[in-house]
Amino acid sequence: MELIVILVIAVVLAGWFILTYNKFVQMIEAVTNSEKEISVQLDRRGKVFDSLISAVKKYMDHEQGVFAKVTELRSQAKQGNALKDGQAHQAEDELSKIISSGELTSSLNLTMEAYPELKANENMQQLQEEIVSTENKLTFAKKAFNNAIEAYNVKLKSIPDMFVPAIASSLKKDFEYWSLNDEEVEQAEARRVEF
Amino acid sequence: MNFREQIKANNRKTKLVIATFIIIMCIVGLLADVVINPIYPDSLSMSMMAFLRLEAFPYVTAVVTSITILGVFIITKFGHKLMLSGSQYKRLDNVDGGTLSAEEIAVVNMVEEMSISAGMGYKPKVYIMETQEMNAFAAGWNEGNALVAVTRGLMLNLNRAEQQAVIAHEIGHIIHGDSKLTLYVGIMANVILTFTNIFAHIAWFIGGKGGGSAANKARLLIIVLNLVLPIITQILYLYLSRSREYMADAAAVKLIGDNQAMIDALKKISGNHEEMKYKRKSEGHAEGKEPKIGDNFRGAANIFETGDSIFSTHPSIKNRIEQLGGHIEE
Repeated sequence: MELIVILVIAVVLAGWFILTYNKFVQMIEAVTNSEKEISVQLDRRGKVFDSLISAVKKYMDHEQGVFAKVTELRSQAKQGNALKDGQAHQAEDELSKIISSGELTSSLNLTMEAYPELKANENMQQLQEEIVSTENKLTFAKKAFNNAIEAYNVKLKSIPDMFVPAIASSLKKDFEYWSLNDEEVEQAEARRVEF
Repeated sequence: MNFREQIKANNRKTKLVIATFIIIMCIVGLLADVVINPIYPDSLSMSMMAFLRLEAFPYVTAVVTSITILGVFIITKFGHKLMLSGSQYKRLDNVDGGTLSAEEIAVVNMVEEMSISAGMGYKPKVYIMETQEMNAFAAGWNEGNALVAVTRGLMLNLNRAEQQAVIAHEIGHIIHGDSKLTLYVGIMANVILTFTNIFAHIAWFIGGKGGGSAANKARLLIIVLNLVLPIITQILYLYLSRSREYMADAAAVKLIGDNQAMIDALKKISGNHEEMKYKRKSEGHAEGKEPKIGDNFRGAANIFETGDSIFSTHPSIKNRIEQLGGHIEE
């Protein structure tokens, strides 16, 4: 009978040891993995920003070109009309009067200035979302890293789990939380938004 | 109470509920065992204890618990594929050739951000649901079946930070394995109720045929349990569901590192819910037949549902906001 009791206790203890050991291994891997996630996100940020900004820039240049072209063509057309036909000039004056008098302004503008559909604004909004999201991903990766370390440290220091790493010393790790150093903290504190 | 204690406390509540279910299951099994084989015909409690000491093998208890374990095993092993289909749902991530609006892209981004924050190592599927009502829900617990869905109303009416908080709450449900827990509790409750019902019918029809006072008492108890257990299991389940909601709220705070967005989101959602209720009423829909979002899923996986009593899946908005450290004016 006593033997059975001792045996049962031994089995339970061994089971607990194995489960706790495995849990520690899992937590250490979680820390390592979330540390890698930070560099993955950093890498992603660099690449995404470079390619996105150059794409948006290119599009803006293109649209600027479109604007210039439209203006140029219109003035050319006006000149051409005036040269060919003196009456055109007169007609245009009258047109201006109608416009400045306030009547028909909106409808005239609409027909006269039908620009090609421009997308730079939309692109900028998408760029903005991508910047926010990318920065968030980086921040949350750091947060996940710190959370993983916290969970590990709590387990490492609590009773009775602490006895497992005391026996299996390979489970004892000294992880450092992600944070800015003192100098960087001061710099970040001093930073202000300026327009 | 901060979010760490919050999660711990509610984890304890979960264990308590699960333990209660197991105890109820054993009691039902042992009562049936006593009816079949009253070891001490004069004393019910002594007979039950005798079965626990294995003076005789409690066959019924063994069968009932094995069936439950088998059910739990099958669910864990094979899970079930959760997919949302139909015109009501639109998959947002993984679209082939389709285009997403700016808001939809943001939702997909936020789900990814939260899965990074939770250190999940995978991205849940993302769906949008075409309704003006503001709600969201989650299901699944692993790479294969986890999903998050938000309604169009939620997407268009909350700002980015608030949507982020709601999505973090849903991710909280996923990392806590709430769908799995619900399935387990569902299996246990169904096994308990089905067997109690069968036993009660048998006890009723073949009642009073010897076995001494122990067997008679056991029969009577089974018949009574058959009447009260449906209510008790339901109350326990709902209690569990509400505590998982608090846990998901706490997880949202942990994942984002800010409670204000969640508080703002809850306020806006509850306002919208009142509005929709009023609208439905004025449009002449029957009160009791409100179409629920994600009917196939447990209510508790939603971000919001009206609630306040022991008969609701969700805690009241007021209580939730107070747990988040906020304040709401009546």
